[in-house]
Amino acid sequence: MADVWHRVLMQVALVWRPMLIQAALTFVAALGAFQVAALRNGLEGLAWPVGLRHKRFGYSLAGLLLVIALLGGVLLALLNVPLPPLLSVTVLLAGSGLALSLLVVGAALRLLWRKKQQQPLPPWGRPIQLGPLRATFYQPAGRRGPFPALCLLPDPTASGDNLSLLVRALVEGGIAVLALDLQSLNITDRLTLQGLVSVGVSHLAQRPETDAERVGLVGIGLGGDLVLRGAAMDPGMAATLAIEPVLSSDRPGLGLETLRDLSWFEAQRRAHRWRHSALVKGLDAPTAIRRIISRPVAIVVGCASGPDTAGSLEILRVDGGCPLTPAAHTEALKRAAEWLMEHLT
Amino acid sequence: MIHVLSSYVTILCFLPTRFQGLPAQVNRALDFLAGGYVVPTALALAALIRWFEGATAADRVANQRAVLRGLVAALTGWGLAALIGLAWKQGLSDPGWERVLNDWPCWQSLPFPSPAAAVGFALGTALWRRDWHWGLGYCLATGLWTVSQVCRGLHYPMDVVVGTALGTSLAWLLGSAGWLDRPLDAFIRLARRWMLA
Repeated sequence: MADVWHRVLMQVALVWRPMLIQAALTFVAALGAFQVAALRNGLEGLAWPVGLRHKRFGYSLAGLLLVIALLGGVLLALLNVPLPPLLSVTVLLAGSGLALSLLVVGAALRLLWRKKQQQPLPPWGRPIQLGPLRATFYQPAGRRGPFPALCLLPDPTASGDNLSLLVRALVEGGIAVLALDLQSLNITDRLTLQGLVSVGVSHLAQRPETDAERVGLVGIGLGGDLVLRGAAMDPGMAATLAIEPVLSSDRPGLGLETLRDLSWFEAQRRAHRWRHSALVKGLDAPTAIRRIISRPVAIVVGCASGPDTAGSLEILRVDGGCPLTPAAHTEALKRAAEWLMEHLT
Repeated sequence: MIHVLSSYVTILCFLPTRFQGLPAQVNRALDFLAGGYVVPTALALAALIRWFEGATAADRVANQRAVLRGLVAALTGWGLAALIGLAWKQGLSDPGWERVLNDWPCWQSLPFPSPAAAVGFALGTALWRRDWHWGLGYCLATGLWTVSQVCRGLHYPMDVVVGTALGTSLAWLLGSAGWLDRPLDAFIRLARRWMLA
């Protein structure tokens, strides 16, 4: 055994210089290759230092890295000390792994920075306390009521979702919005959450600025499943929209699609919460959908194929991966706002 | 066996001797291509890009299965090539053989199937079954790699032919093996948990 180790060490001592050069070149080449893969497949969570907004620059940078790595091979040819195949494979795996780690961390920092730069929720919102539940009420400015109104439910398992784009589009379209803050309660019990949805809807119907006949529900992710159940229980709902609801307790786990909008770390956090959430198992939205009759009800999904209706359910498809990350997906939120304005105003 | 060996060595063995008279720049370019860095790294990174490709989740899974099948075939081909080489070595370990072989004009070293050809063509064939454009690219790159190895005298031409046959047939066989779907899908599910599939 000692003899084997001695031989391995001797071999490494002989080839350490070309080994280091090859590792550095492989690292550079892998950075370029990952950048190409991220740009071709719209994976924000892997794109670094350039995001998908600057594709041309990103491709140029990736090309440059690949050319540098290729030309660096001349240096290896000049050294003329070939690495043993197994060592070459190890170097390849190490270089690629290091490049992937750097890209994941770099992209996470870039996305964090971008999130900080995003516009916050509209400043004209009024905080409201509904028993234990915190909420914010947004009213269209410069118009006369009563307004159609929506109760907005974020995903109770996804903290930090920025819903400003959806709220802004709805309010500017003449719809009052009551955004519930489910995170403030840290409740994962299905019945309690459903009760809170009813509280929100009742509050909206009683406000003098809103039209009690035109109160709807919109939910995101698991919030979407909650609004579907809420609409099934409340026959007075004018319109119901769920953006990328979970719908099934045996839904496959989140995967590479999540990196289209989120960083790897955020995607991992979200997947962990989903896997351990009792709500995912407890909500049975498909059954609830069947009970919602003769009222507009729709879901926004990122899956490209499949029918556009299912009974009374309208299915709005956007190109964003399957499943998409709704709170970070501009097109899905725009489509949702358009549908709600069409059915409520 | 001596006839088999003689044919193996002498068939097309003129290539290395012809290329020895080429200018130094050409030989340097051939060294660059024949080495263990440029083409293998390019093939590995292309497989990595292919892993992430796919307009829909189903497309991506199909591509990932093709890449994994290619890798399984490539590793098996590599192992088999090494084993065949070892068998030749064992078979010709007698010093009497060595004396005979060293007198042959085209004798360079013991023949064994080219691992480069086995690995590259295995990957190429596996990807060809999914999308022939990618397969063709792989086969052309591997062809360039192995021909430059022959020109630099690293392998006999027949080594490359045997390696190619080994890699291609393995990839074709494993490509049709339904039983492989289950372990490959389990691997993809594991990668999916880590947001990498």
